[in-house]
Amino acid sequence: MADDVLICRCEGVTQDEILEAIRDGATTLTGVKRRTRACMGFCQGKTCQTLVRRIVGRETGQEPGEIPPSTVRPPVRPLLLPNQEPLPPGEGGGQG
Amino acid sequence: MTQIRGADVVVVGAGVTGTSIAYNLAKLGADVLVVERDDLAAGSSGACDGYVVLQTKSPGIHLRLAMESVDLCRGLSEELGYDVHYSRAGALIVIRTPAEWKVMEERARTQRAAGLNIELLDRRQVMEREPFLTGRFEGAAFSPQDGQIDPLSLNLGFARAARRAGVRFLLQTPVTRVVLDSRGVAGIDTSRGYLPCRTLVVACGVWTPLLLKPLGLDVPIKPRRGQLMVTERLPRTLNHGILDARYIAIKFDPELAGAEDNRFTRLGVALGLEQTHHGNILVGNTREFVGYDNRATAEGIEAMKEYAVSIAPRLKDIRIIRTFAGLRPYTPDGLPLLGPVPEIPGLVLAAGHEGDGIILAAITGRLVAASIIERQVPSLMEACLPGRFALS
Repeated sequence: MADDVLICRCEGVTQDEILEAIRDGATTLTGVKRRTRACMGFCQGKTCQTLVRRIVGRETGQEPGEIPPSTVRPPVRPLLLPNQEPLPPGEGGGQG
Repeated sequence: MTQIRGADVVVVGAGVTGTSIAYNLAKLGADVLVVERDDLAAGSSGACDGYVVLQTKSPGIHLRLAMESVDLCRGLSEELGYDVHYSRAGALIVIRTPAEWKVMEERARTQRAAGLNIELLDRRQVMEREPFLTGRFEGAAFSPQDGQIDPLSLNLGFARAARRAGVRFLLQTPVTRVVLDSRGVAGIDTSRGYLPCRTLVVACGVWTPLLLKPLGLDVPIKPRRGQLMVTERLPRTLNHGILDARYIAIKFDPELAGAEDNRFTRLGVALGLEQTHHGNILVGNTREFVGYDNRATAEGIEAMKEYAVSIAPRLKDIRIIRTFAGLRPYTPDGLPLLGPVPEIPGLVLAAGHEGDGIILAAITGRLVAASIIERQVPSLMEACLPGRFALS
Protein backbone atom coordinates (compact mmCIF):
# COMPACT_ATOMS: atom_id res chain seq x y z
CA MET A 1 0.00 0.00 0.00
CA ALA A 2 1.44 3.40 -0.92
CA ASP A 3 2.06 5.55 2.15
CA ASP A 4 -0.07 8.44 0.89
CA VAL A 5 -3.10 6.20 0.53
CA LEU A 6 -6.16 7.54 2.34
CA ILE A 7 -7.13 5.32 5.29
CA CYS A 8 -9.74 7.47 7.04
CA ARG A 9 -11.94 9.15 4.45
CA CYS A 10 -13.99 11.27 6.84
CA GLU A 11 -10.98 13.00 8.36
CA GLY A 12 -8.59 12.62 5.42
CA VAL A 13 -5.91 10.65 7.26
CA THR A 14 -3.23 8.89 5.18
CA GLN A 15 -1.27 5.73 5.95
CA ASP A 16 1.81 7.92 6.27
CA GLU A 17 0.25 9.85 9.13
CA ILE A 18 -0.78 6.65 10.88
CA LEU A 19 2.76 5.31 10.62
CA GLU A 20 4.05 8.56 12.09
CA ALA A 21 1.61 8.23 15.02
CA ILE A 22 2.92 4.72 15.70
CA ARG A 23 6.50 6.02 15.62
CA ASP A 24 5.33 8.66 18.12
CA GLY A 25 4.36 5.92 20.57
CA ALA A 26 0.81 4.89 19.64
CA THR A 27 0.28 1.17 20.22
CA THR A 28 -3.55 1.14 20.27
CA LEU A 29 -6.41 2.29 18.08
CA THR A 30 -7.17 5.05 20.57
CA GLY A 31 -3.52 6.16 20.48
CA VAL A 32 -3.67 6.48 16.68
CA LYS A 33 -7.05 8.22 16.88
CA ARG A 34 -5.79 10.80 19.35
CA ARG A 35 -2.73 11.63 17.24
CA THR A 36 -4.29 11.64 13.77
CA ARG A 37 -8.11 11.94 14.14
CA ALA A 38 -8.52 8.69 12.18
CA CYS A 39 -11.91 7.16 13.22
CA MET A 40 -13.12 10.51 14.62
CA GLY A 41 -15.18 11.69 11.66
CA PHE A 42 -18.75 11.34 10.50
CA CYS A 43 -18.67 7.51 10.39
CA GLN A 44 -16.82 7.22 13.73
CA GLY A 45 -14.44 4.58 12.38
CA LYS A 46 -17.02 2.20 10.94
CA THR A 47 -15.09 2.12 7.67
CA CYS A 48 -11.46 2.67 8.64
CA GLN A 49 -11.11 1.00 12.00
CA THR A 50 -10.35 -2.39 10.41
CA LEU A 51 -7.62 -0.86 8.27
CA VAL A 52 -6.10 1.08 11.17
CA ARG A 53 -6.12 -2.11 13.27
CA ARG A 54 -4.24 -3.96 10.53
CA ILE A 55 -1.60 -1.27 10.29
CA VAL A 56 -1.13 -1.04 14.08
CA GLY A 57 -0.88 -4.85 14.29
CA ARG A 58 1.67 -5.06 11.50
CA GLU A 59 3.85 -2.22 12.83
CA THR A 60 3.79 -3.17 16.52
CA GLY A 61 3.87 -6.97 16.17
CA GLN A 62 0.42 -7.52 17.67
CA GLU A 63 -2.25 -9.80 16.25
CA PRO A 64 -4.82 -7.40 14.67
CA GLY A 65 -7.62 -9.40 16.31
CA GLU A 66 -6.13 -8.87 19.75
CA ILE A 67 -5.98 -5.07 19.53
CA PRO A 68 -9.01 -3.84 21.47
CA PRO A 69 -11.53 -1.71 19.57
CA SER A 70 -11.49 1.98 20.43
CA THR A 71 -14.19 3.09 22.86
CA VAL A 72 -17.66 3.13 21.32
CA ARG A 73 -19.21 6.51 21.93
CA PRO A 74 -22.93 7.07 21.53
CA PRO A 75 -24.79 7.88 19.39
CA VAL A 76 -23.93 4.95 17.14
CA ARG A 77 -25.27 6.85 14.11
CA PRO A 78 -25.14 10.63 13.70
CA LEU A 79 -28.40 12.02 15.03
CA LEU A 80 -30.25 15.27 14.92
CA LEU A 81 -30.87 16.64 18.39
CA PRO A 82 -34.70 16.59 18.44
CA ASN A 83 -34.79 13.04 17.09
CA GLN A 84 -32.23 11.75 19.50
CA GLU A 85 -33.50 8.77 21.45
CA PRO A 86 -32.47 8.79 25.09
CA LEU A 87 -29.35 6.67 25.53
CA PRO A 88 -29.68 3.55 27.67
CA PRO A 89 -28.29 4.29 31.16
CA GLY A 90 -24.63 3.45 31.65
CA GLU A 91 -23.82 3.65 27.95
CA GLY A 92 -20.98 5.88 27.02
CA GLY A 93 -17.30 6.14 26.51
CA GLY A 94 -14.24 5.95 28.61
CA GLN A 95 -11.65 8.64 28.21
CA GLY A 96 -11.78 10.92 25.22
CA MET B 1 13.44 -6.23 39.86
CA THR B 2 15.17 -4.51 36.95
CA GLN B 3 16.40 -0.98 37.39
CA ILE B 4 15.79 1.67 34.74
CA ARG B 5 18.21 4.55 34.28
CA GLY B 6 16.87 7.32 36.50
CA ALA B 7 16.87 11.05 35.83
CA ASP B 8 17.38 14.35 37.67
CA VAL B 9 13.63 14.77 37.59
CA VAL B 10 10.90 12.22 36.94
CA VAL B 11 7.47 13.51 35.92
CA VAL B 12 4.52 11.16 36.39
CA GLY B 13 1.71 11.91 33.95
CA ALA B 14 1.87 12.83 30.25
CA GLY B 15 -1.13 15.11 30.04
CA VAL B 16 -0.78 18.79 29.19
CA THR B 17 0.54 19.62 32.66
CA GLY B 18 3.20 16.89 32.83
CA THR B 19 4.45 17.41 29.28
CA SER B 20 4.58 21.20 29.72
CA ILE B 21 6.65 20.81 32.90
CA ALA B 22 8.94 18.25 31.24
CA TYR B 23 9.49 20.54 28.26
CA ASN B 24 10.27 23.54 30.47
CA LEU B 25 12.62 21.52 32.70
CA ALA B 26 14.57 20.29 29.67
CA LYS B 27 14.80 23.84 28.36
CA LEU B 28 16.43 24.80 31.66
CA GLY B 29 18.97 21.99 31.20
CA ALA B 30 17.55 19.21 33.39
CA ASP B 31 17.70 15.51 32.57
CA VAL B 32 14.00 14.50 32.56
CA LEU B 33 12.02 11.29 32.28
CA VAL B 34 8.21 11.21 31.89
CA VAL B 35 6.41 8.10 33.10
CA GLU B 36 2.81 7.59 32.00
CA ARG B 37 0.52 4.64 32.72
CA ASP B 38 -1.37 4.96 29.43
CA ASP B 39 -0.52 7.38 26.64
CA LEU B 40 -0.14 11.08 25.85
CA ALA B 41 -3.44 12.92 26.47
CA ALA B 42 -5.12 9.70 27.64
CA GLY B 43 -6.82 11.30 30.65
CA SER B 44 -8.53 14.64 31.12
CA SER B 45 -6.29 16.50 28.61
CA GLY B 46 -7.82 14.47 25.80
CA ALA B 47 -11.39 14.71 27.08
CA CYS B 48 -12.08 18.42 27.38
CA ASP B 49 -12.88 21.61 25.51
CA GLY B 50 -10.33 24.16 24.33
CA TYR B 51 -11.46 27.45 25.82
CA VAL B 52 -8.73 29.94 26.59
CA VAL B 53 -11.11 32.32 28.32
CA LEU B 54 -10.07 34.97 30.84
CA GLN B 55 -13.56 36.32 31.56
CA THR B 56 -14.50 33.31 33.67
CA LYS B 57 -11.56 33.83 36.07
CA SER B 58 -12.02 35.70 39.31
CA PRO B 59 -9.91 38.83 39.62
CA GLY B 60 -6.82 38.15 41.71
CA ILE B 61 -4.25 35.39 41.46
CA HIS B 62 -6.47 33.19 39.30
CA LEU B 63 -6.89 35.85 36.61
CA ARG B 64 -3.21 36.83 36.84
CA LEU B 65 -2.05 33.26 36.24
CA ALA B 66 -4.43 32.93 33.30
CA MET B 67 -3.31 36.25 31.76
CA GLU B 68 0.36 35.23 32.00
CA SER B 69 -0.46 31.86 30.44
CA VAL B 70 -2.42 33.43 27.58
CA ASP B 71 0.59 35.63 26.81
CA LEU B 72 2.64 32.45 26.47
CA CYS B 73 -0.04 30.77 24.30
CA ARG B 74 0.36 33.43 21.64
CA GLY B 75 3.87 32.34 20.69
CA LEU B 76 3.49 28.67 21.51
CA SER B 77 3.06 27.16 18.01
CA GLU B 78 6.27 28.82 16.96
CA GLU B 79 8.13 27.94 20.15
CA LEU B 80 7.10 24.26 20.07
CA GLY B 81 7.45 23.91 16.30
CA TYR B 82 3.97 22.38 16.31
CA ASP B 83 0.65 24.03 15.49
CA VAL B 84 -1.43 24.14 18.70
CA HIS B 85 -4.19 26.03 16.85
CA TYR B 86 -4.45 28.94 19.23
CA SER B 87 -6.84 31.60 18.02
CA ARG B 88 -8.12 34.71 19.66
CA ALA B 89 -11.55 35.47 18.25
CA GLY B 90 -13.10 36.53 21.55
CA ALA B 91 -15.72 34.79 23.69
CA LEU B 92 -19.30 35.54 24.66
CA ILE B 93 -20.67 34.72 28.10
CA VAL B 94 -24.40 34.54 27.44
CA ILE B 95 -26.61 36.16 30.09
CA ARG B 96 -30.09 34.67 30.34
CA THR B 97 -31.83 36.58 33.14
CA PRO B 98 -31.88 40.06 34.69
CA ALA B 99 -30.45 38.56 37.91
CA GLU B 100 -27.49 37.16 35.98
CA TRP B 101 -27.09 40.52 34.23
CA LYS B 102 -26.62 42.24 37.60
CA VAL B 103 -23.94 39.77 38.67
CA MET B 104 -22.09 40.02 35.36
CA GLU B 105 -22.22 43.81 35.33
CA GLU B 106 -20.61 43.97 38.75
CA ARG B 107 -18.05 41.36 37.81
CA ALA B 108 -17.14 43.12 34.56
CA ARG B 109 -16.34 46.22 36.62
CA THR B 110 -13.80 44.42 38.82
CA GLN B 111 -12.35 42.54 35.87
CA ARG B 112 -11.87 45.76 33.89
CA ALA B 113 -10.01 47.15 36.89
CA ALA B 114 -7.75 44.07 36.70
CA GLY B 115 -6.92 44.85 33.06
CA LEU B 116 -9.47 42.82 31.10
CA ASN B 117 -11.29 44.29 28.15
CA ILE B 118 -14.98 43.38 28.71
CA GLU B 119 -18.07 44.81 27.13
CA LEU B 120 -21.70 44.00 27.98
CA LEU B 121 -23.81 43.50 24.85
CA ASP B 122 -27.60 43.58 24.66
CA ARG B 123 -29.55 40.92 22.80
CA ARG B 124 -29.47 42.71 19.45
CA GLN B 125 -25.71 43.29 19.64
CA VAL B 126 -25.14 39.62 20.52
CA MET B 127 -27.18 38.46 17.52
CA GLU B 128 -25.20 40.77 15.25
CA ARG B 129 -21.93 39.29 16.47
CA GLU B 130 -23.17 35.72 16.63
CA PRO B 131 -26.16 35.06 14.35
CA PHE B 132 -26.20 31.43 15.46
CA LEU B 133 -27.70 32.51 18.79
CA THR B 134 -31.43 33.04 18.30
CA GLY B 135 -32.93 31.58 21.48
CA ARG B 136 -33.81 32.88 24.93
CA PHE B 137 -31.26 35.26 26.45
CA GLU B 138 -30.87 38.87 27.56
CA GLY B 139 -27.40 39.65 26.30
CA ALA B 140 -23.78 38.64 26.82
CA ALA B 141 -20.43 39.74 28.17
CA PHE B 142 -17.83 39.89 25.41
CA SER B 143 -14.06 39.99 25.62
CA PRO B 144 -11.86 40.13 22.52
CA GLN B 145 -8.97 38.78 24.61
CA ASP B 146 -10.56 35.35 24.87
CA GLY B 147 -9.83 32.51 22.49
CA GLN B 148 -9.35 28.81 22.04
CA ILE B 149 -6.67 26.20 21.53
CA ASP B 150 -6.67 22.53 20.49
CA PRO B 151 -6.00 20.58 23.72
CA LEU B 152 -4.76 17.45 21.95
CA SER B 153 -2.38 19.45 19.74
CA LEU B 154 -1.19 21.35 22.82
CA ASN B 155 -0.42 18.07 24.59
CA LEU B 156 1.25 16.48 21.54
CA GLY B 157 3.13 19.71 20.86
CA PHE B 158 4.60 19.88 24.38
CA ALA B 159 5.53 16.18 24.18
CA ARG B 160 7.28 16.52 20.82
CA ALA B 161 9.16 19.64 21.86
CA ALA B 162 10.13 17.91 25.11
CA ARG B 163 11.49 14.91 23.20
CA ARG B 164 13.47 17.17 20.92
CA ALA B 165 14.95 18.83 24.00
CA GLY B 166 16.09 15.43 25.28
CA VAL B 167 13.22 14.32 27.53
CA ARG B 168 12.72 10.53 27.63
CA PHE B 169 9.18 9.08 27.76
CA LEU B 170 8.04 5.76 29.21
CA LEU B 171 4.45 5.35 27.99
CA GLN B 172 2.21 2.39 28.97
CA THR B 173 4.14 2.29 32.26
CA PRO B 174 2.04 2.49 35.43
CA VAL B 175 3.75 3.70 38.60
CA THR B 176 2.91 1.26 41.38
CA ARG B 177 4.62 2.93 44.34
CA VAL B 178 6.60 5.99 45.40
CA VAL B 179 9.63 4.82 47.38
CA LEU B 180 10.99 6.97 50.22
CA ASP B 181 14.16 6.84 52.29
CA SER B 182 15.44 8.97 55.17
CA ARG B 183 16.17 11.89 52.80
CA GLY B 184 12.75 11.90 51.12
CA VAL B 185 11.89 10.60 47.65
CA ALA B 186 14.28 7.82 46.55
CA GLY B 187 12.54 6.54 43.43
CA ILE B 188 9.44 4.86 42.02
CA ASP B 189 8.39 1.29 41.33
CA THR B 190 6.94 0.94 37.85
CA SER B 191 5.63 -1.90 35.73
CA ARG B 192 9.03 -1.91 34.00
CA GLY B 193 11.14 -1.92 37.16
CA TYR B 194 12.59 0.39 39.79
CA LEU B 195 13.55 3.90 38.79
CA PRO B 196 15.71 5.99 41.14
CA CYS B 197 15.05 9.74 41.33
CA ARG B 198 15.43 12.45 43.96
CA THR B 199 12.88 14.86 42.47
CA LEU B 200 9.47 13.52 41.54
CA VAL B 201 6.76 15.67 39.96
CA VAL B 202 3.28 14.19 40.25
CA ALA B 203 1.11 15.61 37.46
CA CYS B 204 -1.63 12.99 37.47
CA GLY B 205 -4.63 15.30 37.64
CA VAL B 206 -7.60 13.58 39.28
CA TRP B 207 -5.53 10.43 39.86
CA THR B 208 -2.94 12.27 42.01
CA PRO B 209 -4.58 11.43 45.38
CA LEU B 210 -4.63 7.71 44.50
CA LEU B 211 -0.88 7.60 43.84
CA LEU B 212 0.00 9.50 47.04
CA LYS B 213 -2.47 7.96 49.50
CA PRO B 214 -0.08 5.09 50.41
CA LEU B 215 2.40 7.76 51.63
CA GLY B 216 -0.20 8.96 54.13
CA LEU B 217 -0.97 12.07 52.08
CA ASP B 218 -4.54 13.22 51.67
CA VAL B 219 -4.50 15.41 48.55
CA PRO B 220 -7.77 17.39 48.35
CA ILE B 221 -8.44 16.83 44.63
CA LYS B 222 -11.82 15.39 43.60
CA PRO B 223 -12.84 14.21 40.12
CA ARG B 224 -15.63 16.30 38.66
CA ARG B 225 -17.17 14.93 35.49
CA GLY B 226 -17.77 17.13 32.46
CA GLN B 227 -19.77 15.73 29.55
CA LEU B 228 -19.57 16.98 25.97
CA MET B 229 -21.18 16.29 22.59
CA VAL B 230 -19.48 16.65 19.20
CA THR B 231 -21.34 17.67 16.05
CA GLU B 232 -20.51 16.80 12.47
CA ARG B 233 -17.98 19.06 10.74
CA LEU B 234 -19.45 22.31 9.49
CA PRO B 235 -18.20 25.31 7.59
CA ARG B 236 -17.42 28.28 9.88
CA THR B 237 -20.64 28.64 11.88
CA LEU B 238 -19.57 30.26 15.15
CA ASN B 239 -17.58 33.47 15.27
CA HIS B 240 -16.60 33.14 18.97
CA GLY B 241 -16.32 30.76 21.85
CA ILE B 242 -19.66 30.77 23.70
CA LEU B 243 -20.32 30.06 27.36
CA ASP B 244 -23.08 31.21 29.67
CA ALA B 245 -23.23 33.04 32.98
CA ARG B 246 -25.20 30.45 34.92
CA TYR B 247 -22.26 28.88 36.72
CA ILE B 248 -20.59 32.21 37.51
CA ALA B 249 -23.89 33.66 38.79
CA ILE B 250 -24.61 30.65 41.02
CA LYS B 251 -21.11 30.80 42.48
CA PHE B 252 -21.74 34.45 43.27
CA ASP B 253 -25.26 33.91 44.62
CA PRO B 254 -26.29 30.27 45.27
CA GLU B 255 -29.95 31.40 45.55
CA LEU B 256 -29.99 31.93 41.78
CA ALA B 257 -29.93 28.17 41.28
CA GLY B 258 -33.21 27.82 43.18
CA ALA B 259 -35.47 28.99 40.37
CA GLU B 260 -34.06 26.44 37.93
CA ASP B 261 -35.14 22.99 36.92
CA ASN B 262 -33.32 21.04 39.64
CA ARG B 263 -32.04 18.50 37.10
CA PHE B 264 -29.86 21.26 35.61
CA THR B 265 -28.60 22.17 39.08
CA ARG B 266 -27.91 18.57 40.06
CA LEU B 267 -25.95 17.88 36.86
CA GLY B 268 -24.29 21.30 36.92
CA VAL B 269 -25.42 21.98 33.36
CA ALA B 270 -24.09 25.08 31.63
CA LEU B 271 -23.71 26.18 28.03
CA GLY B 272 -20.54 25.62 26.07
CA LEU B 273 -20.41 26.04 22.29
CA GLU B 274 -17.07 26.00 20.57
CA GLN B 275 -16.27 25.31 16.95
CA THR B 276 -12.91 23.61 16.66
CA HIS B 277 -10.47 24.32 13.83
CA HIS B 278 -11.62 21.03 12.28
CA GLY B 279 -15.17 22.42 12.00
CA ASN B 280 -16.92 20.28 14.64
CA ILE B 281 -18.89 22.11 17.31
CA LEU B 282 -18.36 20.97 20.90
CA VAL B 283 -21.60 21.31 22.84
CA GLY B 284 -21.45 21.17 26.62
CA ASN B 285 -21.35 20.76 29.51
CA THR B 286 -21.93 19.30 32.96
CA ARG B 287 -20.18 19.49 36.35
CA GLU B 288 -20.88 16.36 38.41
CA PHE B 289 -19.26 14.68 41.40
CA VAL B 290 -19.64 10.99 40.55
CA GLY B 291 -16.26 9.56 41.56
CA TYR B 292 -14.07 8.22 38.77
CA ASP B 293 -16.91 7.31 36.40
CA ASN B 294 -15.91 9.02 33.16
CA ARG B 295 -18.76 7.91 30.93
CA ALA B 296 -21.22 10.16 29.19
CA THR B 297 -24.76 9.47 30.39
CA ALA B 298 -28.19 9.55 28.78
CA GLU B 299 -29.42 11.99 31.41
CA GLY B 300 -26.46 14.33 30.99
CA ILE B 301 -26.72 14.39 27.20
CA GLU B 302 -30.48 15.02 27.36
CA ALA B 303 -30.06 17.90 29.79
CA MET B 304 -27.19 19.54 27.88
CA LYS B 305 -29.13 19.22 24.66
CA GLU B 306 -32.21 20.91 26.11
CA TYR B 307 -30.18 23.66 27.70
CA ALA B 308 -28.07 24.40 24.60
CA VAL B 309 -31.05 24.33 22.24
CA SER B 310 -32.92 26.88 24.39
CA ILE B 311 -30.13 29.40 23.69
CA ALA B 312 -29.10 28.21 20.20
CA PRO B 313 -32.16 26.58 18.55
CA ARG B 314 -30.33 26.20 15.24
CA LEU B 315 -28.40 23.32 16.81
CA LYS B 316 -31.48 21.26 16.03
CA ASP B 317 -30.44 21.09 12.35
CA ILE B 318 -26.98 19.73 13.14
CA ARG B 319 -26.01 16.10 13.71
CA ILE B 320 -24.28 14.83 16.84
CA ILE B 321 -21.61 12.26 15.93
CA ARG B 322 -20.02 11.54 19.32
CA THR B 323 -20.39 12.12 23.05
CA PHE B 324 -17.71 11.84 25.74
CA ALA B 325 -16.83 12.90 29.26
CA GLY B 326 -13.68 13.86 31.13
CA LEU B 327 -12.79 14.20 34.80
CA ARG B 328 -11.76 17.69 35.95
CA PRO B 329 -9.50 17.81 39.02
CA TYR B 330 -11.53 19.95 41.44
CA THR B 331 -9.90 21.57 44.49
CA PRO B 332 -11.71 23.26 47.39
CA ASP B 333 -10.38 26.76 46.60
CA GLY B 334 -10.38 26.49 42.81
CA LEU B 335 -6.59 26.84 42.52
CA PRO B 336 -4.20 24.04 41.53
CA LEU B 337 -1.61 22.52 43.87
CA LEU B 338 1.80 23.52 42.49
CA GLY B 339 5.14 23.02 44.19
CA PRO B 340 6.91 21.06 46.91
CA VAL B 341 5.08 19.00 49.51
CA PRO B 342 6.59 20.16 52.83
CA GLU B 343 6.22 16.71 54.46
CA ILE B 344 8.28 14.82 51.82
CA PRO B 345 11.51 16.34 50.43
CA GLY B 346 11.77 15.83 46.67
CA LEU B 347 8.04 15.46 46.09
CA VAL B 348 6.48 18.14 43.90
CA LEU B 349 2.79 18.40 42.99
CA ALA B 350 1.34 19.88 39.80
CA ALA B 351 -2.33 18.95 39.72
CA GLY B 352 -5.81 20.18 40.55
CA HIS B 353 -6.53 22.70 37.78
CA GLU B 354 -10.19 21.66 37.46
CA GLY B 355 -11.34 23.26 34.18
CA ASP B 356 -8.19 25.34 33.78
CA GLY B 357 -5.65 22.67 32.88
CA ILE B 358 -5.56 23.78 29.26
CA ILE B 359 -5.46 27.54 29.76
CA LEU B 360 -2.89 27.24 32.57
CA ALA B 361 -0.69 24.54 30.99
CA ALA B 362 1.90 26.96 29.61
CA ILE B 363 2.35 28.98 32.80
CA THR B 364 2.22 25.88 35.02
CA GLY B 365 5.13 24.36 33.10
CA ARG B 366 7.16 27.55 33.38
CA LEU B 367 6.55 28.08 37.10
CA VAL B 368 6.98 24.50 38.28
CA ALA B 369 10.13 23.97 36.20
CA ALA B 370 11.64 27.25 37.44
CA SER B 371 10.84 26.39 41.07
CA ILE B 372 12.67 23.05 40.74
CA ILE B 373 15.75 24.33 38.92
CA GLU B 374 16.15 27.57 40.87
CA ARG B 375 15.06 26.02 44.18
CA GLN B 376 12.93 29.05 44.80
CA VAL B 377 9.17 29.47 44.49
CA PRO B 378 8.22 32.16 41.92
CA SER B 379 5.91 34.75 43.52
CA LEU B 380 3.09 33.93 41.08
CA MET B 381 3.10 30.36 42.39
CA GLU B 382 2.94 31.16 46.11
CA ALA B 383 -0.85 31.05 46.36
CA CYS B 384 -0.81 27.61 44.74
CA LEU B 385 1.63 25.90 47.13
CA PRO B 386 0.33 22.53 48.37
CA GLY B 387 1.24 23.52 51.94
CA ARG B 388 -1.93 25.65 52.14
CA PHE B 389 -3.80 22.40 52.80
CA ALA B 390 -3.13 19.97 55.66
CA LEU B 391 -1.98 17.01 53.57
CA SER B 392 -1.12 14.53 56.31
